Order: sequence, then structure tokens, then C-alpha cells
Amino acid sequence: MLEVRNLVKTFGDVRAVDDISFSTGQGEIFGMLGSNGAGKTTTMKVLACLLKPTGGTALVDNLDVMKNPLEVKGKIGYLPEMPALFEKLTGREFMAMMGTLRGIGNDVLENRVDQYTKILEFDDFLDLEIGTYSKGMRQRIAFASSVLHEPPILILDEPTSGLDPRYAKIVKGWIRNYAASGKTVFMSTHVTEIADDLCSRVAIIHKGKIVGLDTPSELKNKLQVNTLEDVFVALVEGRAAFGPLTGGK
Amino acid sequence: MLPVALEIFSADVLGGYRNMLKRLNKSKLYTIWSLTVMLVAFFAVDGIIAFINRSDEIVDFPLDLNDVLFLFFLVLMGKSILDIYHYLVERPASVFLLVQPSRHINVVLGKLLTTMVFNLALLAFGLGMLTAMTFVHPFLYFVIPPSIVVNLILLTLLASIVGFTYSILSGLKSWPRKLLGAALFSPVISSIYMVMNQLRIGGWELTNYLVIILLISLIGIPISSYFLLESWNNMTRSKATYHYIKRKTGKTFMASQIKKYFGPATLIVYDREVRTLLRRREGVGNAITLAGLLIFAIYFYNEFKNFLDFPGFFIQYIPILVVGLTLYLAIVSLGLIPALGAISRDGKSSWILKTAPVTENEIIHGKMLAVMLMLPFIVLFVAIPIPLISGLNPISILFTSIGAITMFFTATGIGIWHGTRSPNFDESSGNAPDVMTMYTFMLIVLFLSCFLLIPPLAIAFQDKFLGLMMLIISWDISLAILYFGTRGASKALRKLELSL
Repeated sequence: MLEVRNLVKTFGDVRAVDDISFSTGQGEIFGMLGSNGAGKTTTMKVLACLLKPTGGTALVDNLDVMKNPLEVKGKIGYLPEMPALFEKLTGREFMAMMGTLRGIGNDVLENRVDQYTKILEFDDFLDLEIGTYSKGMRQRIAFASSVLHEPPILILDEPTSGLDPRYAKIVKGWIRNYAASGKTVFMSTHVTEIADDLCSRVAIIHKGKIVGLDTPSELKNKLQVNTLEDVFVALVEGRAAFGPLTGGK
Repeated sequence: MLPVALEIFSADVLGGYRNMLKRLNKSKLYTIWSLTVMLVAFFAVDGIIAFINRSDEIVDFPLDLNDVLFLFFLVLMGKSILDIYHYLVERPASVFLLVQPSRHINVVLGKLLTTMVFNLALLAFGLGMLTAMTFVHPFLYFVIPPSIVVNLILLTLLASIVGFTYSILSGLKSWPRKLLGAALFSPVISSIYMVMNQLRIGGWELTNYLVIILLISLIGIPISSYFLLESWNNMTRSKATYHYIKRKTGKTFMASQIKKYFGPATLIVYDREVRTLLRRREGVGNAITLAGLLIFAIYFYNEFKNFLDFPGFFIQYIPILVVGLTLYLAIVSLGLIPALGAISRDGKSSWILKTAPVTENEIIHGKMLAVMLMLPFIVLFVAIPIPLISGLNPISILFTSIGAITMFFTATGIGIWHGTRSPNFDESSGNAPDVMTMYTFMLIVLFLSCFLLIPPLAIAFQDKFLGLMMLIISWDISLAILYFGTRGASKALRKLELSL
């Protein structure tokens, strides 16, 4: 569903993404784990058609992000890290806007807004201007708006950021169910427990390069450690390195 | 006490310097062009001053030096109000200053020092440029009397303090408090007005009065310190505003037409722009601008209609000048500047439209239509009444209305094109188009408007029908500018990368 081949993205002299390759399958939750500035968000922005790759290719459902951006955008739902929203719209108006832009009919849209309002419990503030929302409320609205049209591929950058444990659990459960229905979820996080809990495969990215890619259990086995956190630290500190970075699946 | 204030001042200077470097380095060609435009403007101002200085034939010139100085004070005061509001009162990052173990008067002194120094630097630059220009040609030579320079400096300091204080007071919790604060501090402005405009004191005598008023105005510093925290809290807190959808998007006639001719995506973008405009109370600001322009036009016409002892043929152009100037100001403030900021305004939330499966054309059309919303108001409240006020015959309304539409299309087309090509996503500047960009494009719009409107007008003086026909051709040209401008903007939006 998603395929990245030798992807490079530079900003001036800075190589934010340095020749990375991976692919995801249907029904998979693929995680990208890395510290701040590692290149996770840049990779996601290329896939979401916000940035143009400097080199390599990025395909979404076999569509090239450079050649078919409109079609690509129709197939994805994108949630950025710390999403900035339209402050002067209410949550309801914002979700309606997002739904309409993605071609959801009014009746279906109304049902879906109700559905996500119930799941994420934001009926109390749905008619308040987004500018008045707290961080957690924004994240919930942004999450709901990104998945409203139920696309085949979700690109979620730190989906549980800013959420309290209760809503983080709800979102994680929702992501699990979503992937189980045959959809692809590509998510990033810098919290190893979330990646361990949710992802079928994880790519660990450090300074723009993928330093490890496999299922969480295989990564732990190969390094003979107990937690993904230890895997991350070992790989990032260079105490271990894997060969070809196309493990798992 | 002083070092903390100096610390704040130093940080502001460093930030301002880096901002300026960033803008200058953005495009060297553009910087050279902007500097050239600035030089030409100073050259023109110098010429006007030299001409007025020499001209004995002009009697009863309605604006004298005190009027100009008072206007200078008002403009600088307005600038100071906006600067402090933007960089201190409404700024969430000010929390880092307000939580320090230091009295708020240090924050006030630091920020006031920044405002004063920047304003004085502007004054020094202006005076320096004018002085340099006087050596270009003997005709341009004049000497600025020292008393005027000193008065300008004092007025700059006064404008900074008064603007600063009013900025803080305008952020207070309730309207009664805001009004009470403004009223208590109003004797300072009243004194300046009385001394300069009523008593018409000038020269070194004015200097003495300004020094006394400046000393009195220093009361603004403890007032600002006292109210700073309340003002900041009030302006940065979220104010819960409920909006229950009273009508769904697409139910009005206009919305149905937009949907029919531009598509549902354009309608959604347009609808969002309009809701945001209304809820940010920009509509109120626009209404105030229109009202202000009407008042300005009436004042300008009344003051200038009979003053010049020039041959009669010039007199007939005064009403046209009034109409043209007012229309130009309306179109620049309500058309060009919003068009320049159409993409920048979204700031970090630009990802929403960029990742939606809509074409760039649809996005640009939605934004363009939202900008065009002001056009009917400009025609109704400027293009139609002002010719009548200025004593022109009723047929001139047709010319001014078509002329207004022509100028507006031109301004919107080039504004949205450049605004998308070169958006300003710098939040520290409020995502607004920078001053040089605005200045440059104001001149471009002026030039294009003259090119499109003066020939038909000149012909209309001989043959009204022919003039009207030519004006319609100009209208067509402006439509082409709008069309190609939006197409160029769509292309630019397609190429735009968002790394925010």
C-alpha cells in the first residue's frame, strides 16, 4: 500500500531523510520510531504530498506522490504532529469541512461526526471555536477529522500526543480495529511502548537513516533485549547494526 | 533595575536584526528593487517639500506644518499601539518575561525602549534620506530647521509612550475599564492636540511645550506596569464562543452560484474564509476603514476644492483626485493586502488544504472569492457616494464604479499571485505580508490603475461614450490580470512545499 524506495529529502545542506526504503502491506500497522529530528515527520510529509522528495520515489497504493498528488491525497488520511487547525471554526464546522473536501455526502457525514463525537467524547465542545480548545481536545478533533472519510491508508504522526491515558487507549484500540478491517496504518511515535503495543512492524530511524526494521519481537530477539526501548537505544547509539533493512512480514 | 530592561531590549534588537537579514536575503533582486522604490519615493517627497518651500504662489495651503507634525504623531502612535499589541500584549511567548523574578516595570521599560529606539531609527533614516536627497539637485535643496528636527524627536518619544500605554489599556478585561483607562490618559493626547492644532504653537516654543507634555506622559510607564499582567491574561486567554450552525453551507443564492460555477470544494474554502473573517471581526475593521475613507474624502474635498490659485483647468481635476485617491486607498486596504495574505494567513494550518484531495485552482478560487466579497461594499460606499459628494455629475458614478471594479480585479489578481508565490509563514510577524512587499505592490497597483484608467478618463472628457467604451476595455484587461493572476497562484501553490 505504501512503498518508499531510496527516499532522500534535503533542506539545504541538511539531509533530513537519507536514502530510506520500506513498504507496508494491507491490514498492517507500520510504525516509525525515532527521536526528535530523526526524519519521521519529513518522511510522512513526503507521503502526504506536503514535501517533494529530493531523490527516490514514494508510492501510495502504487501512485507516485509526485505524478499523481491529487489521487494520492484521495487515498490517505493524514494527521500531523501538533496539528494547527482553523481556530475560528467550531469542531463541528471543521469536521464538516474536512468531510466535504473528501466528498462525503451530508447524511453519511452527519452520522460519522456523531459516531466520532461519541467515541472520542467531545460533544461538550463541538460547537465551540477551536481556538478555545486545550491541547488534548485539538488532538481529538484533528484525529477524528483525519479518519472521518475512512481512507484505505492512514498516516498518523504521533497520534496519541497530548492525549490523557484514557483517550490514548481509545485511540490505540481504534487504530487496532481499523487495521484489522484491512486498512493500512503508518504511524510515527517516539514512545517505544506504543510502538511495541500497536505495531506489527517497526522501522527505527536515526539521523535520516533506517537503522532497524522488523517486527518488535524479532528486533528484541536479535539484540537479545527485553524491551523495544533497549533495541532503540542500542541501535541509535550504534552498539548494534543490522544488515539488510527489510526484515519481517 | 536597568539591566533587566536592557536584556529585554537586546533580545528584541537581535530578533529584529535577524528578521531584517532574513527578509533581505530572501531575494537579492527583490531587495534591490525595494531599495530603488524607496529611493524614488524619498526623491518625490523631497521634491514636494522643496516645491512647497519655494512656492510663494500658494496661499492658504490647508495643511500647515503643525498639521503635518500632528499627523506624524498620530501615525507613529498607531504604529506603536500595533507593535506593542502584537509583540507583547497578545503574544503567548510574553509569559517567559512575565514569570521572571523581576518587577513588571522592567518588562515595560525594556519593551518601551525597543519601541522608542526603533521609531527613532525610522525617523533618523527618513531625515537622513531627505537630507541626502537635497544634494542630488539644486532644486531639491532645502534646510530642515533644527526646531523641527527636535520637535520630531520629541513627538516620536511621545508617540511611543502614548502608543505603548494605549496598547496595554486596550487589552483590559472589560469595556468600562478600557474606556476609563483611555479617558484617564487622554489629557496627554488632548494637550498635544491643543498645543499644535488649536493654539498653533510652533518652532522652539512648541519644543518647550512638548518637553513638558513628555514629562507628564511618563506616568504611562507605571500605569502600563500595573495593568500589563491583566491585559496580557485577557488577550491570551481562550474566550469560549459558541456558534451553533444556523444555516448549512450552500443554502444561500451566492453559495449555490459558487457551487455551480466553481465547484463544492471552492465553496467550502470560500465559506471557511468568510466565517473566519466575520469571527475575527475583520468585517468590523473593514467597515471602520470604509467609514474612515468616506470621512477622509469629504474632508479632503472640502479643504482642497478652492485653495489653489492655479489655472481653472486644475480645479476640475480636484474631485477626480478625491475619488481616485479614496478608491485607491480602499482597494489597497480591502483588496490588495488581503489578497497578498490569502495563503500566509493560514500559517501552520496550511496543511489542511494542501493534503485535501482538491485542486489548487479550487483553493485559490475560494480564497479569491472571499477577497472579492469587499468589492460590492467599495462600490456602494465609495465609488457611488463620493463622486456625488465631490460635485461630479451623476453619470460619473458609472465611471467610478467600473473604475473601482477594474482596480479591484487588478489588485486581487496580482496580490493573490504574489502572495501565493511568496507567502510569509513567519508567525513572529503575524503571517502578514512584509512592509516592503506591501509598499512595492501598492506602487504596482497604482501604476497599473493609472495605466488602465487615465486614458479612458481623458477620452471621456471629450466624448463620454467613447470614454466608457475604453473603460470597459480596461475592465476586460483587469479581468485578464485576475484570471492569469489566479492561474499563476494555483501553479505556485502546487509547487509550494510545507515544512512547517
